[in-house]
Amino acid sequence: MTEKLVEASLETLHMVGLSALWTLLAGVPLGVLLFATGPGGFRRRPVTHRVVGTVVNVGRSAPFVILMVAITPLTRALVGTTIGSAAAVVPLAVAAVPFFARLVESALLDVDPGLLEAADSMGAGRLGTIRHVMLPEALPGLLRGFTVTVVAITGYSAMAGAIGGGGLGDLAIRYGYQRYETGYMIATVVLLVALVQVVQFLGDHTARRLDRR
Amino acid sequence: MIRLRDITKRFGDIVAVDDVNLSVPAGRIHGVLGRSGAGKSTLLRTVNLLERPDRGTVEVDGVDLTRLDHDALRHARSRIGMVFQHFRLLHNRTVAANVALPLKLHGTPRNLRATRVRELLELVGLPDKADAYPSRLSGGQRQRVAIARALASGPEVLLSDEATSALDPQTTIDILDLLVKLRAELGLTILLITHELDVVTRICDSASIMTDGAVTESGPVADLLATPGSQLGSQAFRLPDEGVSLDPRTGLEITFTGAAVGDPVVATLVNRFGLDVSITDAAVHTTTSGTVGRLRLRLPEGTDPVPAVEWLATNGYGVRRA
Repeated sequence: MTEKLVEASLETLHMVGLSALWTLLAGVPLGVLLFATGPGGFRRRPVTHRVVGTVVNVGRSAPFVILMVAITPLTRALVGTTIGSAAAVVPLAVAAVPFFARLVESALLDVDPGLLEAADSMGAGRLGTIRHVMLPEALPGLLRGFTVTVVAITGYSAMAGAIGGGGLGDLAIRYGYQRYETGYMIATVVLLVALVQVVQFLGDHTARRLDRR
Repeated sequence: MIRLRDITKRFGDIVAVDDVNLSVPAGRIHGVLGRSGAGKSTLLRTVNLLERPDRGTVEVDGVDLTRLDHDALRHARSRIGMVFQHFRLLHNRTVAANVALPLKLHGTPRNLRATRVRELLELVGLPDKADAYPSRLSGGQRQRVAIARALASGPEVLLSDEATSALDPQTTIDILDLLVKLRAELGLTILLITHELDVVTRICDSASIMTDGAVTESGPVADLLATPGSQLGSQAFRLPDEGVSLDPRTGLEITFTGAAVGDPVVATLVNRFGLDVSITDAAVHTTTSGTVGRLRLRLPEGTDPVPAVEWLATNGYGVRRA
């Protein structure tokens, strides 16, 4: 049992870790785009903002189980298979990116708009403003949003187990549920709870340390 | 150094700035005084084109900023520092990182940045606060950091948007003295807007008064103060019951400037003209170009003030009877 648990835990960490990384890489630029083109931004493009916003909202409103099945062709195109942890990363990232992008946008909207004007007065370019003013100032908020996102991904990853994604969720369903082995059920739940606790603690702690307001 | 010509800026139906002309020679401090909503903040923002005027030209150091393209304007803005009422520092970065921000934005190498930051913090009197975070500083210290930041890229012009309005009176004086010192040491040209008269009389060489988007009065501060009936003068020497004390039959208002400040004017009126005057109000303002005072007297009823008034006028005093 221990061996199976360790293996499943590693699969979960692998899935969650990789999808979190992709979510970070794609979600920050998307969130910046939403912010910059939106009402509080410095490059107002109402049409772009609405189109991107709609896509993001559609992505967020699709239930994960459905999304996972619906994007099977995409998954196959990207990783060559639809089974296993590597394949599960695709739907996980696709589900988490729009969610995180909204949180990035709202963290940026929380920054004092006066700072945008101050940056302008220094002759800052748009990229410079984002990189040296907005993102550093929004960092604690970004980190809190990322923590929430990773916790959500952890939850989704258990569902991914149901379509052969592996990981703790898979173990819980196959052994704990289908084979009535309560020990597995309890162990996986405990491990998942512990994982979420650790992520939340690290996120909160670091965000608090970065926040100097 | 700064020359605004025929600046007009509208927001919808509201004319925020109405055909304003204003110029500030190099090395001078000019103050725009007005109530909130008078358009002075919008006017100030046209100087670095944070607000692009609907009409008119903005010249800084001989360059018309309204004709510059995006990159040239960014460069021009790096030559114009700006400070704000609420400081607008990055909360999550240290003082040193805040001061270094404009240098970073313009690609100055790290080692040069560090040296420059030290110089700047020395200049504004905060050499030991480099590693502090803004939330640990007092309002006055935060404004000093903001000033250091505004000066980081070595501008010739400093714009100040109510920089002392969020500060207590003593801190206000400290910050104003710092501005005067920076003008002397760096040859800065400063354009500031404020609703505080004391800011204008204390450090400004010249001033404009703004009402409903238009400049209604403009000139050297000492001259404006010395002109009987000027808006700056009546604000500076305001009496709560001005109408009462200036009874045209018995009231006399004397404005004196420069050398006349030390003269025994009351004694002269008493001894030479036999007028037993009583003082109802007196105030003196020390400006950057000399002292201006105003004295309000009440004469005994039934006396003839005309000879005294003539004597005062010929001796360089401003006199007003009604």
